[in-house]
Amino acid sequence: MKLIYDSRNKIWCSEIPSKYGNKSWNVVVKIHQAHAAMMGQLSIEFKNTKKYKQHVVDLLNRMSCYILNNYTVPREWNHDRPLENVPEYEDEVMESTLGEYLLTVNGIGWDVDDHSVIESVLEKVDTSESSASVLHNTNNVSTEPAESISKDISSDNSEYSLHELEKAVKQTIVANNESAKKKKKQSRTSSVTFETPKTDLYIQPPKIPQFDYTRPWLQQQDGADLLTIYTSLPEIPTKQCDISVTTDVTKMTDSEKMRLYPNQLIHTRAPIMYEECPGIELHPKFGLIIPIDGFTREQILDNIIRYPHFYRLNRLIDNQAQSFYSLIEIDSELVSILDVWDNLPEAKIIPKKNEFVKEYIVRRYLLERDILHIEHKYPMFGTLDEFLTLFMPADDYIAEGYTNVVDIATKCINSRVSYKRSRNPIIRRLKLHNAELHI
Amino acid sequence: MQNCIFSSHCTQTVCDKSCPMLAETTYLLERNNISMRNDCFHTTTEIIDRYDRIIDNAAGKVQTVISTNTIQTADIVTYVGICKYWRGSQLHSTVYNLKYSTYLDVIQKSWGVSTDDSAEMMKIWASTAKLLIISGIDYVNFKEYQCQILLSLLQSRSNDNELGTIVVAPSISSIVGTGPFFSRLTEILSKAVVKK
Repeated sequence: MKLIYDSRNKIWCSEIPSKYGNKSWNVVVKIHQAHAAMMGQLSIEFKNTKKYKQHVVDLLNRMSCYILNNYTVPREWNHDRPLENVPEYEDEVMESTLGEYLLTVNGIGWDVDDHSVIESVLEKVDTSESSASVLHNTNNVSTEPAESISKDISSDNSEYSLHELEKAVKQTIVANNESAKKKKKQSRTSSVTFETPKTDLYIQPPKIPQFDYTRPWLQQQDGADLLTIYTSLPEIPTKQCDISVTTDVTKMTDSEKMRLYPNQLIHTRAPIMYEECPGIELHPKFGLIIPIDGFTREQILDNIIRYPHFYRLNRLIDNQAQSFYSLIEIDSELVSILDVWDNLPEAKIIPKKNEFVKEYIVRRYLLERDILHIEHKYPMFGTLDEFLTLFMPADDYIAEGYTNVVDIATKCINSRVSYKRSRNPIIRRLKLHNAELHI
Repeated sequence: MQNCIFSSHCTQTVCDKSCPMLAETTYLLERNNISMRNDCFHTTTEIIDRYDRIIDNAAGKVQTVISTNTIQTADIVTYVGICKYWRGSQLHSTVYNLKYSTYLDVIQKSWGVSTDDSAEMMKIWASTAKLLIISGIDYVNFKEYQCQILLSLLQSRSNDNELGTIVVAPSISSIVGTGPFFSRLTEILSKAVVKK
């Protein structure tokens, strides 16, 4: 297998975080950030030995392998301790996953100071008998001051006094230490926080649900069936997807609510909504602002921020669930969207594509409900309240004018609980909208 | 819906205890003897994530998970596997926890009773499961026969690149056994240990 970076085409250590390849941009960003944190720490502890270099290469490859497979950094990994909790993989797995982007010791230009040499020189400076070994060690340090001094000393045959030699070496060491401190400071300022994965914002059930079987939240006999809902865990949710019908917002503190905010902007609309479309304004953060007749741009933008995410919306018609996206209520009549689309004033601008039609139908419904206070004859099945999903950091909400971030987080929890309770088949079967514990 | 693990998050339109989600997860939980009272339903996120990663890397090979409480660990690994592979399982044992000591007992009983097909069924599930968890080896005295059975099982599964096998064991040195096959077995298990 031919590698991109080998002994003939080396990648410098300092460049590793910024070069990886043509994988999807989201994955590449995550790899860059993880590598930046790891290289920052590694450059501080760097030792110019084959064993240590192999260790560096293994860590970088393992992290890349994990991110490529899982689209996120390991949950246990922390940017403050970037060399710990890096998952392990066998060599064959790494080779097959990374392919030509597999890093090797020979493929990297090791333009990093040897920290072990600096330390050993520091120990020997005070010892006059070992000045020769100090000179020898100084030659190995790959920084300009050390090299220039060692070159001067080695090329000049004149004899140096011991005092002058010690002074020269001390100056070198001071310069190297300052350089190491600068790199350490740079690595701290350039390290990024751990990104919130998109899966944390999902409304659908978690992949591996956890619950406390000793505490049934709801248990009631209905005919021959004993219907039970156990208290979901964690009881105090740390992610939005942990919120269930059993979550009690009154038990949460403000700091616990604030933890639900993601630490970066996450795109929650369909991907096509973040691409340019002729005639429709593309907001750099929130995507396309589709025009809806009767509402201003600011009202629609506000609607996008309050309702960034739609998931399986239905209507109940004659006790049958029907998709919300295929019918539209106009003048209290429910009609197929395909029949009326061409007659809508927005049809000249909005493309007749699945994602655009869905957004138009739902946003028009919500705007009519929230701003015009229309009571629809064919309402949505279940509740859909504002701030169901928090999709950007709290600071970004404040920057957009939504300053009461604690209140918004509370609304998120209440919205999700209401969303799930209004749709939960057990609760609905027992016809309990404000469910209470029965044992 | 007492045995539905998704009940607190469910937003299906109707609950009549016959949805595929309930059918497939309940089947797998019952097949692996995991009741609602099992501790695997309330364990830490770190443990779940660790076994999630191990299972992701399990395809086509044998991995050994060292644990002081092999029964609990085997149940947690099985539960995580069920949550990952229940969808589309069509009531097949895609995830199976083979309790090896029990398996040997059942095989020996089957030599006497001709009408009992338990041994045959266990053999089929162990051979075909997408994810096989082998536990209970700390309760076995590995002589030639016991080693041969396990080695044969591991070897037959390794021929398929999609089948994963996880052996939950105490420390390899504490497994009891004798004979040439035993040293080969411990060598395979030692090499397959998943580092923490």
